[in-house]
Amino acid sequence: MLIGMTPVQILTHRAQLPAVIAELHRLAAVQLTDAAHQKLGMTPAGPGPGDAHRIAGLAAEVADLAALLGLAEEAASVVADKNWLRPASVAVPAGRLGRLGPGLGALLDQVGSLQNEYETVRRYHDALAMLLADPELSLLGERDLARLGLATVVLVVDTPDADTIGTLRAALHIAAGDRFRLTVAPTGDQTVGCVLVAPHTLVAELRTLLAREHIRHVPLPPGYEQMSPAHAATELGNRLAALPDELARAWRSLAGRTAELAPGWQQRRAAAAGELDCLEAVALAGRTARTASLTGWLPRRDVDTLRTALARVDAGAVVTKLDAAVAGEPPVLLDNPPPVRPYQRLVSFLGLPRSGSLDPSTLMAAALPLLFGVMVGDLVYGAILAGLGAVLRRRGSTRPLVRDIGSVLLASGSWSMLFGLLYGEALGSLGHKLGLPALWFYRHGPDELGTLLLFALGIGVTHILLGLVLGMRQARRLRQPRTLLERAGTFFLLCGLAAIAATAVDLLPGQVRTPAMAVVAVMFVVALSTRGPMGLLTGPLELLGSLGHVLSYLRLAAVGLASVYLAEVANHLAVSVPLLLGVFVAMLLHLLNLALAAFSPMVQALRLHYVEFFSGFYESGGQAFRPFGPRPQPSPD
Amino acid sequence: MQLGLIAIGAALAIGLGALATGIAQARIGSAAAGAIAEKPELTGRAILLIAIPETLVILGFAVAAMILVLLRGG
Repeated sequence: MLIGMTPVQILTHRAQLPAVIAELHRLAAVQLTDAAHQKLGMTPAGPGPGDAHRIAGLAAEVADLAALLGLAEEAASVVADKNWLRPASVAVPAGRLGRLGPGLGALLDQVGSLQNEYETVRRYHDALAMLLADPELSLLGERDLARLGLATVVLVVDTPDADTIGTLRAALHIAAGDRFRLTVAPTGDQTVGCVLVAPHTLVAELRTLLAREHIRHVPLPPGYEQMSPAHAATELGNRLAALPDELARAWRSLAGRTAELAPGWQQRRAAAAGELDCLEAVALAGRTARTASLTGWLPRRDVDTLRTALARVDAGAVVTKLDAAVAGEPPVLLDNPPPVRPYQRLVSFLGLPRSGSLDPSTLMAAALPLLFGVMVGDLVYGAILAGLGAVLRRRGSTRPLVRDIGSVLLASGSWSMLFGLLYGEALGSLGHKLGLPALWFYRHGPDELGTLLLFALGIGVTHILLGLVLGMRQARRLRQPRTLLERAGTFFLLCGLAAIAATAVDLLPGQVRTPAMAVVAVMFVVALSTRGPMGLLTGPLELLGSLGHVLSYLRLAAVGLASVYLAEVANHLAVSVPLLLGVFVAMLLHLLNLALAAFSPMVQALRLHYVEFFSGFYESGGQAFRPFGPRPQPSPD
Repeated sequence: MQLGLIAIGAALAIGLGALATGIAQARIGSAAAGAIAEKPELTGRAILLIAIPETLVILGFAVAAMILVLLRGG
C-alpha cells in the first residue's frame, strides 16, 4: 500500500543547522526538497566559502574508498576463481593509495609485473616453439655460436603489417650484406616471431636499427639474450610453468591485505559519505538573518518521531506542516507486508504508482499465482516449481531478488498443484491414466474445450471488472467525475455483454437477454458521451479494446493446453520407443516443458496484469521516496 | 473430408496468427534488446512489449477453438 506522505518545514536557529542536518541524516526519514528556491522568502544557506573545498575532498575520498573496496572484492574473487591473469589495478592516485592502503602499491606492482612477465614469456615461448621447427636453428648450441663468432637474437615483433619484416630484412642487408640469417614465423595475435643469427657486431647494432625503422617489438626478459634459441625455449618453458604459482602467491597476499583493510575502509567511507551528504544538504536549506529552514517530505506516521529526535539536538527546532501547493508532487513509498513484497517489485517494473493512486501489489499477490496455476495446472510440475521456490527462498536470505523469485515460484507452484488436482493432471495426462481423478474437469478431455474457454473468459471478466471497480473508486477519491462515469459505463457494458454471452451458453435464462441488451445500449452511449466529440470516433475502438482485454484471458486456456499437449507428446514417445530411450526422451521433454511452464505462464500472467487489469485504474509515474540518510550498501543482487 | 477441412481451417486460424505474432515479436524483440542494453531498468517494460503481439495468436486460438467446438459439434 502507498504510505501517506506529508510535507514539512523545519525551522531552527542558523547556528544549529549543522546539528539538525546531522540528526536528519541519522534518522533517514525525510526526503529533503530545495527550501532555498521555494516561495518561502529565504536565501540559500550554503555552502560556505570553505565548504566547496571540503566537499571536493570528501567526494574524492568516498570515490577512492569505493574503488579500494572494489579491489578487495575483485582480489577475493580472483583467489576464489584462480583467474590469476585478471588485470589488477585501482583508480586511486599513488599518494592517496599510500595513505589509505599502506603496502598496497607494492603488492599491485608485484602482481602487474608478474602478469607482464607471464605475457612476454608466453609470447616468446610460443614464437620459439614455432621457429625451432627449423632443424638448423634447433641444433645451434651456445658453443657453436661462440666458435663461429655469432650471436642470436629472438624477437617478437608487434606488427599487423606484413612489410615490417621486409623492412627489417632490408635494413639488416644494408648493415651486414649477406652475413645474417633471419628466420620468421607468425605467432598469431598480430605478432611475428623472429630469430636473427648474425655476427656479434650486427647484433649489437640491432636495437638502434629497430628504433630507426620504427619497428615495435616486445623486449625479451633479461637473462635470455645470451642463450641459444633451443636453450632459451627450455628456460622460457620452465619460467612459464613457475609463474602461475608466483602469481597465485602475489594475488593471495593482495587479497589478504585488502581483506584486512576493508572493514576500516567501510567505516571511513560511511563517515566521509555522511559528512559529504550533510555538507551538500546545506545547499538545500534556506536562511533569514537568524533562522534556517529545511523542507521535505516524510511519511505521516513519522512526524512525531521527527519532532522528538530534533528536540534532542535543538530544543528550539520547530516542525510545521508545509503547504502542499508549495511542496509540489509528493514522493511515493510502498510498504506492504512481507508476503506481498515480491509483487511490489513486479508492480515497480511498470513504474511506481502515482501519489494518491492505488498500489495493486496486494491484488497482484492474490491473482498472479492463481493465473499461473490455471495455466500450468499440473500436480507434478507444480510440486517441482513449489519445491524450487522453497529452495530459492531459503538460499536467498541475503539476496532479496532471489528470495522474491523463490516466494513467487512457491505460491505459483502451490496454485499449480491445486489446479492439477482440479484438472486431474500429473505430468500431463499420465496422472489421469494412472487413476488420478479430476476434481472439476479434465482439461484434456474431448468435450472439455468449451468449459476451459468459458472458465478462462470468466476469470477475465471478473479480473477486468475488478480493475474497473478499483478505477471507479480511485476516480471518486480523486474527484474525477468524467473518468468515474466512463469507467462505470464500461463496467456495466461488460456486465451486459457477459450476461448476453451467458444466456447464449445457457448459464443464464433467456429472459435476461433483453434487459442485458438494453443495459449494453445505454452504457455504450454513456461511455461514449464521457469522451467528448472525439469520443464518437475513438470511443467504439476503446470499448472494443475492453472486449479484447477480456478475450485476451483466453491465453489462460491456450498456454495451458500447449503445456498439456507437450507433456502428452513426451508420454507418447516414452511408450513408442525402447524403454530406456523412451524414458530418457520423455524426461528431456518433460524438463523442457517444465522450463517453459516456469517462464511462459509467468510472462503471460504478468502481461494480463500490466495490460489488461491495470488499464482500468493504474496510474504510473510516481517518484520513489529517497530519504536523506546514510547511502545504502550495494545490493548483492 | 469435412473433418479434414475443419482441421485445416482451425490450423490456418492459429497458424497465421502465430506467423503474424512471430513477425511482430521479431521486430519488437530486437528493439527491446537494444533498449535493455542501454537501460537495464527497462527490462519489465520490454517483456511487456514483447508479450503484447501474442494477442494475435490468442485470438487465432479462440477462432480455432470456435471452429472445432461449434463445427465439429454441429
